[in-house]
Amino acid sequence: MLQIQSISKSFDKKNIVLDQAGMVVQDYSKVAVIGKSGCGKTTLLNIIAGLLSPDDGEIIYKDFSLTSKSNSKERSDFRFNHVGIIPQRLCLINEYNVFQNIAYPLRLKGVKDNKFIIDKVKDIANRLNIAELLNKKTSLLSTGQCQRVALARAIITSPPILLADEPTSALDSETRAIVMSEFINYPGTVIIVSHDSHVISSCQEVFLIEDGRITKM
Amino acid sequence: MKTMVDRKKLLIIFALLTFLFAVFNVVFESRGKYISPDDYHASNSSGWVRLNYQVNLADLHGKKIDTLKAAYTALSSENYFEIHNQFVYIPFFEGKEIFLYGYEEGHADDSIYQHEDIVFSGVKTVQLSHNALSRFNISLWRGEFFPDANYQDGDMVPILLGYEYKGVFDIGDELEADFIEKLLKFKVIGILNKDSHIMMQGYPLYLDRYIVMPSINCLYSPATPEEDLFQVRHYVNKLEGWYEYNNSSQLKVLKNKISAINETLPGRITLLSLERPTMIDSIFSSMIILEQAASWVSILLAILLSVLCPLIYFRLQLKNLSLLCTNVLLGINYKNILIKNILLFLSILALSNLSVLAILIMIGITFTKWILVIDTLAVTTLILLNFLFLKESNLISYMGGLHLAANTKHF
Repeated sequence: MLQIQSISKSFDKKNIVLDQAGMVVQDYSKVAVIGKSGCGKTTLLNIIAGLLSPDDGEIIYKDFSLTSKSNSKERSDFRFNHVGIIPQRLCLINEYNVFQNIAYPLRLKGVKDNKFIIDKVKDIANRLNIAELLNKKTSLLSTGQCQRVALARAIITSPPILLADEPTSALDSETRAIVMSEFINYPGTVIIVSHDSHVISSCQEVFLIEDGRITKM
Repeated sequence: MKTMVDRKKLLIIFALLTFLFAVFNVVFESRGKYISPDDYHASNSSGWVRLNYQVNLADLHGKKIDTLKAAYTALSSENYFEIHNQFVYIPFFEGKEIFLYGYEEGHADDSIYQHEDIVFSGVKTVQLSHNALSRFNISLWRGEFFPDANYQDGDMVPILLGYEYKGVFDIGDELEADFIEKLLKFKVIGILNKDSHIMMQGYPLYLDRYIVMPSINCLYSPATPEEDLFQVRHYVNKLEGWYEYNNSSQLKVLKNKISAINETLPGRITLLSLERPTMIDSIFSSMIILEQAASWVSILLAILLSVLCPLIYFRLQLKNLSLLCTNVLLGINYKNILIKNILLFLSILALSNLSVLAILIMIGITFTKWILVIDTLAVTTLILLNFLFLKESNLISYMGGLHLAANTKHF
């Protein structure tokens, strides 16, 4: 269970994005977070991922606890071990091809078995319909293709928490269905920030961020 | 986008700064560094110059020998050294081949000729003025130095032998020698110590295989045309001595003296390195010209490198941005990311900076302390500014939520 307890976050002390916001996400549940632009959806995702530290409050997941006092190493350790992220800007490595981008987290985790890596990448690529792109540089791909590559990269290490920031914004309906199927069937907790009604309707729970607060819908 | 724009601006600024710095170094440090051969001696406070007497020997026949002798007297001073490498022909020479002229070059046989029944061997000989012996600290193994350098016709000419003549001739031995087509009588009065040598232009001339004879002063007037020709040729040689100067004013005095002498002499005496280069001087000059050409190529290369390396670095930084972000996303500790980036940065910066410095030093540009200080400051500033703009918060902003760019306060 992922608990977000009374999280507050402001920028420049004037711009309060999250104000004592809290939510509880059960393991394996698929959750959508919605709200107006600039309401703090991405900030919430970044805080859960440990990319940002909250001004106040706590993120609790199993033995881990992230607070305003958690240092950079604790947050990066949490991210390394428990979180997969698909950020808005997908941050694919342009010099690598699709295969290398997807396999990169496995390499970082020290997986040396090439056959395992190849099989794993191919399996995910087939599911996401990007198998034919594996040898292409990501700089040559469309935004929709890049989104799927970023998804593949995020899930290849099977992190227990998957965070996605507008993962279907550039997808056609057919591809969106493939991607959503991946999210829905993902064997872990999925939190998706989205404006897409199809995404929202596919999720088990929906949280609205409004005036810095999180409300379950 | 703001971050990207900032980086591009930085890239341009640093490329320009580095370029300007390189130009600054080159312009200020190389100013006056490359001098023409003509200015070479003038720019040195001490050194040697060689005199060269350009004259048609036919113009010197008859009654000109007194003019030559007067010119020689005018030139003579403690700083004027006669060091001539004029071999002599010795009939029925009993020494080994190593003493023959051209032996070291492999054509000793060419120095042997036969006239009627007499075999003459060209034997290596140097003529030294008296002051040259003391100037080069030449010491004796046995015997004594020249009593004086004056020579009356028919006098015995005292000679010293190099150390390798030991066992070939001994003190007191007398020889006959053809010196510029005049038959002289030599008498061995001493043998030099082993490895005795004179230094000319930084190179030693070892005398072990040489006969050393005084650069004789002919006190008598020539009675025959042959004697006149001998003296003329000999004094032309004597006017081609070396002058050691200890300051530029001495050199100036010498030049004035030569100008005055040239008014009276047929032909013209010049200072070789200053006015008419010998082959060695020409090679030296060519090398300077080549060096100058090479230096310009090097300077261009240095400038190119100084611009290219920062460009490459910033280009890599931009390319690496997605890699850095990916690493952050995947939970790599920012400190590790920073360390990797520092190493990349330092290696490229070192390549840039060291290449430029190495090239500039290689082409002879020396750096004053403050240039190095400025360089170091520039490098340090570059490092600091770079990492000011490479913050984890910026990387995170790059992934999304760009409105956070300058405001994230937590790292």
